[in-house]
Amino acid sequence: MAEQTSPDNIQCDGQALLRLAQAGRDWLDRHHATVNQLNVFPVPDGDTGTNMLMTMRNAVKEAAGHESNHIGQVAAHIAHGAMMGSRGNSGTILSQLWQGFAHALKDQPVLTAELLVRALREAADTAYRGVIKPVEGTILTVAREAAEEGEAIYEETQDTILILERVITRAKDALARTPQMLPILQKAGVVDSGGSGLVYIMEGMLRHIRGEVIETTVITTEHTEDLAMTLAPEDEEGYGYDVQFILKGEQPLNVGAIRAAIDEMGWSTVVVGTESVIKVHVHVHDPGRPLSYGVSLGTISDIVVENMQEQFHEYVQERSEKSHVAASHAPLPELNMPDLEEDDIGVVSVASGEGIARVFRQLGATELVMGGQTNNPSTQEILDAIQRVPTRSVIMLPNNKNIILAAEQAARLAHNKRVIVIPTRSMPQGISALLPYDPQGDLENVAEAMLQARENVTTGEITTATRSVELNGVRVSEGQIIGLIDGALAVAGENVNQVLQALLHHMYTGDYELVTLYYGNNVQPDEAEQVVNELREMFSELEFELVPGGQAHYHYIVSVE
Amino acid sequence: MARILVVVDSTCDLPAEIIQQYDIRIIPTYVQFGLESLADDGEQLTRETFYARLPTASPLPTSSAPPLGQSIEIMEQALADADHVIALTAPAKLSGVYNVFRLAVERTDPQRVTLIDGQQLSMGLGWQALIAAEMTEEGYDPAAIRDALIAMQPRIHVWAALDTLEYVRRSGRVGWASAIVGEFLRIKPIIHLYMSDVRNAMRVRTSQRAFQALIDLARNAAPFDRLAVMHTCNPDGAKRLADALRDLHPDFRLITVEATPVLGVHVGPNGLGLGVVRTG
Repeated sequence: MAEQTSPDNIQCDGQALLRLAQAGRDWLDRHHATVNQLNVFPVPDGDTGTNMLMTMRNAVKEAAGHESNHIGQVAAHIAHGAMMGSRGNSGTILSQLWQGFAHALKDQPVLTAELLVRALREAADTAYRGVIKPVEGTILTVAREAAEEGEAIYEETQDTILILERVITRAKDALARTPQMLPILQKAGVVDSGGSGLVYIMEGMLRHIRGEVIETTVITTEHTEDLAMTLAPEDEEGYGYDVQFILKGEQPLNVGAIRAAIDEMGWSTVVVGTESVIKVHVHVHDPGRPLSYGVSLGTISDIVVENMQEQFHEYVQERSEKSHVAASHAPLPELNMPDLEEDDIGVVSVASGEGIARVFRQLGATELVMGGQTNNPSTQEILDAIQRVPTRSVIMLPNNKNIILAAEQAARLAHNKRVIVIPTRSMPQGISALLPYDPQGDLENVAEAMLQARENVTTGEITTATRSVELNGVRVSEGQIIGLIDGALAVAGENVNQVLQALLHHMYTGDYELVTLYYGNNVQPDEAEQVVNELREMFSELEFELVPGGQAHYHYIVSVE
Repeated sequence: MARILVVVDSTCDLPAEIIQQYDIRIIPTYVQFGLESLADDGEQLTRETFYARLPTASPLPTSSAPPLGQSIEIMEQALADADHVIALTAPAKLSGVYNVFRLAVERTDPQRVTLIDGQQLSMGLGWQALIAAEMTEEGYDPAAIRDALIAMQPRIHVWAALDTLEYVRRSGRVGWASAIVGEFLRIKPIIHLYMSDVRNAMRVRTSQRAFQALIDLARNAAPFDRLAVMHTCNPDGAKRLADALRDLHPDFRLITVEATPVLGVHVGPNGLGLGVVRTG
């Protein structure tokens, strides 16, 4: 619950400092999930908020166990508690901030403006020394700019509360600028997580001074899933909206003034750009305000408005989903494969069907040529794909016996590249061949490993016969469903599911472990689910994986390994 | 003779009897299930309870560097019990533990501590701690031990066959794993930890092939001065792997260990691994 404290209190004693630390801890407690979410640097493991909270909790706990009213002693207890309770990088840095802060207050009974300014400076300096290679755009920058602001404002006023207010405003400003200092943050579209944790702690303190309510979530459950769901929203009005747009000015734009105006409307403000074009990012309760403001200054484009309440719940759900989510229900995000250098090895692969194409992309194929049994890509199309690959060495996967020749032809025509064709005869062979692909490996070795891996699977295919024929002792009439094993006709029947079952019985030898079924664009997902469930019962010792292949003509492509 | 103690973090995976025999001091790293933070010390969190909890934990646990204060206490105790300390940690590149140790050394007695970035995890780090401890018994001085370990590091490899990409991807420490944002096909990666880098050594899709791949990797890297088999709740697999490799390693004890929970956080259950020191 809120504790009403008159502003003068914080100027005097240790207990006031303790209450400030408690308020900082509580405000961080409310927001630690948000801080976790921002965590992309140095290690994006989503625990910055948790680690800082652990550290703050122990800091306050330690200090609360002592009766002292002497600010130097209380600060020392807080620092000691932080050090004993620190977790992870961010916790370690936070403990160093407290340590520097406490050192400046050593032997002092009460806080003065001068001491506050000095303590902030020493906190920042100690934190910088606490890491091996200080990086700007992090909690360190936020702490340092806070200290600098304290020193600057001290020239004008000796009012501790005024100083603290200005320091926190500057800390928030520094936090908003962290993406400009640290490219990885910019790329991820977030501010620094540790810095934001520090700002929450400071904000909590300020709210306490102003007598604002800070309710903490009481955690009684061990399950953070529940915790995350019960977390209080950003403030009393909820999470609000994430608004982004690009502003092109008719008159020269004043970035600083616009940033200040936008920041007034919400929080997590990032305004960057030049006199002619500015990128705006802000979290607000009323998305209309920043948009109208933008229109008043020029033309706005690339507008994104997202409901953060929904995003947060999606995020929580995503984090808590178990690892074995059925691939068929996975969303289809962009693949962000690392860029290849000229000396690396690239891969061109033929793929039939969108789903199969995605699998090839997931496994690292650089360029794809769409095609297959009934629509063989031309030599020119393959050559074009080879030329699009930025590397000099290229491995080509034709993935169909009718495409191997065209692939070899294209390889010979690509004079400026070293191209090795792995004669894969089916999509599953191509996928299996791609598993050992290592873009930084030696071309001969990688090609050899891929050539061998091609043999690790047996391919089954289910399709509709286009003519009547008798082959391998199997009589087929046009329109019947047929099953092929490694390209040879093996079974025929009237019903897709029966033929699929018969085919697996043919293929099964007991040595196998995993069956992957790629279902085609003529099979409904729920139908495929049902089929695979029946197969699971029938072959209980095998593992089945169902993948939407999206291929034409083939109801199922099956790989057994 | 000056007494030297080895202090290492809990990611070293050394078996309890070796820790006891050589009086190796362990600084626990931490596992967090949400806001429940547990020391990886075999007491607050045992392997048994951890691996029983892991499959159903939601969200998945995270790991973190130990409190500086606790590290200082353990370091102080070691310095009280010995003349010098050799302190070894998980790779500074992958973990905050090194920095915590560095600060702990600064605040105790820098003159009497030799701090070494182990550049390895699990038995890749464990072998270094054990070899350091053996060398102290043989009377080597701290500088000689440090030089020996640093010279040995390029011969140390850890391979781990993971049952799923999921845990290592979520750990955020492996760029290539996080690059694959949507897993359309389940993959079992074999990762290679070498000189602080985690690389994708191989990708397979069945546990049989993963098993065979580890054997092939080991046969290509042999002979070894030291060989350990590691696992995450997969004792049967570990035993089979150890049996399959026994001929590569006739002279030394082959150590089989279950990886400590902090590592389990990053590799997930049903993993198998090798930690080797190749013969120089």
